[in-house]
Amino acid sequence: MNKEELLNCFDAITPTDEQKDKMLAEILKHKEKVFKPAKPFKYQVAFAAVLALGIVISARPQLFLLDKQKDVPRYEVAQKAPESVSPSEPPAQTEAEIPAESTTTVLNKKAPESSFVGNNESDLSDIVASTAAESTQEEALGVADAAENSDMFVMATLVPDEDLSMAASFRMAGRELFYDEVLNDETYGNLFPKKIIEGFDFASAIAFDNSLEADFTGENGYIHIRIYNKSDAEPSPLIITPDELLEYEQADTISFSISCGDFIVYYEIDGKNITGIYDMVVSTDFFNK
Amino acid sequence: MSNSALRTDEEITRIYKKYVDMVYKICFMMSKNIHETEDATQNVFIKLIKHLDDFKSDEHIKAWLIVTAQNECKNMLKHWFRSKRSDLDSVPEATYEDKNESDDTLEKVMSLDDKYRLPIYMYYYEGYSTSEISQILNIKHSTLRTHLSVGRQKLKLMLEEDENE
Repeated sequence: MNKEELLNCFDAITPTDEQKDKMLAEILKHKEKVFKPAKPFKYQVAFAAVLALGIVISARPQLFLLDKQKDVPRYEVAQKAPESVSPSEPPAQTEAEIPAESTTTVLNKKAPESSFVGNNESDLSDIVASTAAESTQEEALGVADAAENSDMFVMATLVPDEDLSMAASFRMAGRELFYDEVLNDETYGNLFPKKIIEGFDFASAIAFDNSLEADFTGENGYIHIRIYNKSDAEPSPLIITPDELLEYEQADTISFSISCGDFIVYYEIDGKNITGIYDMVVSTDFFNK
Repeated sequence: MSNSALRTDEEITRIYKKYVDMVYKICFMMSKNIHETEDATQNVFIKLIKHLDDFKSDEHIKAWLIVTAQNECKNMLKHWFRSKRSDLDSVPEATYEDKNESDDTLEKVMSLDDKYRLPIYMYYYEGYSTSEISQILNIKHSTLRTHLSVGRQKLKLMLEEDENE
């Protein structure tokens, strides 16, 4: 075998033109099919979709909340009563379970004829009635705070039960007053001192149906004055005369009551300035009369 | 990969038309099967599409195609033994015998081992020197020369035996 025969042998291994065209077409087809040009537009669409979804989620997250709260009707959430402060208390009640009378009964408690409210009694009843109708469950339980812009509120106190658990109870409707209003009150005004011990400032005053309270605070303590009807005095208070105050000279905290006609004036004073206390007590119009 | 980064159709077509015969021959000698040869040839040029390095010259392209064709066929043969794409009995065998049944010389050449067949083709048909072949196929020069010598002797013996018969 010479070289020429060998070359002819290799020449025989040659694809036909048809094979060549077919393979070239396949190659170019594969190129167009597999190596597609990049389409930035589709990524822009995807980016815009993700961005829009993020905006929607941030604007309305409640649409995507999957917790159980989503399934609870909103009125139930809004009206759910606060947890009872006492284990002995029944579980939280819904508004429907709480009789409306329980609110109005307490709040509409009639004031005695000698109430300081006087002409404001009818107004107070109206306000209380409307407040009861609109009151939330918290208000019904007496946990409401005195609104800054409203001088009407429900006074609530936490008192220990027999088993020492705490339970909320109503006291009665109250109305915040300025001290000028206290002094100008037709029933109780003249029983409050015109001159307060030096170093104490007026803190707050609350008018109830059958009593009026005022608090004064200072660097060295506080003064609490409450005036109420004698008929409401229970148990019988320790009633002293102003002159007997001097016997409390060594005491840090003094609490005493002074009988003034149909009313009891109760003082609770934290301080040692007995002379100042005496001057304050005797400075009331009642004693000056 | 953007389309602009690929070789253009014109460039691919030019290289294809120039070297498709060579690539086809190498693939055929490696696979000994027409269908496998066509697939391998296509794969070689598809790899050329993705090969973005600039070639220094047409000789550079030619050498790259030889090496790529050889590797492609080796991979295909490995894959061929691993996968059962069809029942061999059901498919008529398509080998070099279909190509040229009367060419005994080709049959003798194809009966040589791969390590002799491709150097003989590159030396006698493509005209490469032994040093060039050793560089392209990445084998030692002395080893290549030995393969060429042994291949020639085996081919000569096979032809002499046919003549004696």
